[in-house]
Amino acid sequence: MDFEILTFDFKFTSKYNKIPPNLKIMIDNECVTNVAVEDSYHIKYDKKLFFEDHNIKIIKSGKTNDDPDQALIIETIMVDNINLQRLVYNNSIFYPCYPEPWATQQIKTGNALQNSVIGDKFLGHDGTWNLSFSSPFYKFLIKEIG
Amino acid sequence: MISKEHLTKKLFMVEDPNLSAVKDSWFHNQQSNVSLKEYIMIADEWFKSTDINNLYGWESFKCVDACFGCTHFIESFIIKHGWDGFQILEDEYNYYTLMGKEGVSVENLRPNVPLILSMPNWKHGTRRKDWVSIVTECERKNIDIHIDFAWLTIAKDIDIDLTHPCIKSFAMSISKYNMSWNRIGLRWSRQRHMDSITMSNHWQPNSNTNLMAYGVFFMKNIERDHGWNYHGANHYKVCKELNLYSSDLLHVAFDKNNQPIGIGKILTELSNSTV
Repeated sequence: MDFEILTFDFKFTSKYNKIPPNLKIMIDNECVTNVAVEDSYHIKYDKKLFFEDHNIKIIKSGKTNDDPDQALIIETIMVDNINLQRLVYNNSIFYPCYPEPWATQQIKTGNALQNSVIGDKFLGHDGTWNLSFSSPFYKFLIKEIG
Repeated sequence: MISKEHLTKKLFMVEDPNLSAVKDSWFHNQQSNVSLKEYIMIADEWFKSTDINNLYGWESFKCVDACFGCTHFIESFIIKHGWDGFQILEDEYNYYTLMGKEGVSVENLRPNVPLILSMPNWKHGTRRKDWVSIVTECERKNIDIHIDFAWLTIAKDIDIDLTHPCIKSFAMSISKYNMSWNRIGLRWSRQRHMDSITMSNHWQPNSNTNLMAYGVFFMKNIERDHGWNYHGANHYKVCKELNLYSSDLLHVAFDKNNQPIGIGKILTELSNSTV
């Protein structure tokens, strides 16, 4: 057998004043969900994975200048009943898309904006959050955490 | 020697001179180490070599790991799923009940919650008699089945089709050949998950190699079906003389009220008397 079936379990909450953030989850090229997170959101998803490299993408969108407090919070990501907290902190990368004119103003005042942020669970900006892993998942865990 | 006074409520395992001799030889002679890989290969072949049980579909379970007895299999399973994350059936091994877990009837099995069960079952004296309805219910309710085959080494006529997709893993051990001091065994899985057994095999592969070395020594000296081949005639003789009903478990018979009763002590005494 050169594949495994893993259960992915995602939990999110959101903050906003007017418009809830939009959440899209991709595992490799497969869209798991595409939804507005009004308060909290929980999804479980079984995915067949061949023994190779894989990628989880969490794409946050929907932020406008009318709602600067809008945020999507990643509460937990579980795979195969295992909380990936440590991997999320150490291995995940968030690529924010900064809004204008805010981004230009920040640069003008000398505040450098990071192209990527490691271990971010509070997604205040729109952008793409990325976590790479591989199958068999148990071998990946031993390599990364063991 | 064959008397009702020697019947026991507790189901004692059978001892005999051959089993004792192997143990003595192990402790009195110099032994060499055995690798995990070598142990798994030899144990896999030994467990499969039964001629008195019919287990079909081993080939669906390509992930084979060493485990420190079926208790390790159970505990690894429980840690993985959590105390409230699995279920057991009525008449299950008391290990769970001693820690507060109660069994449910087949029709009350909860959907999507994994089930662990022992096979053969002590109370049925063979494969659970409701096995077909268990499998049907599990299929209907999307329940994964994990089988503790601890007593299979001392059983006969157990028929199981392992190809059923609900069966996800199972384990066997040599402990029932008077081997509670060394509960080495194997776990077979369709898919390997991260849990205690996976960790001990793949992260700490050199753990407890003395247990595996003895396991190999034992398997090279004791045939898989030794229990029934050696004591089978005495099992039937005891049942006949004491008006008991035979079961598929070597050390268990049934009384006229259909209650399981231990004959392991008598079988042990009979084997010692023939030396």
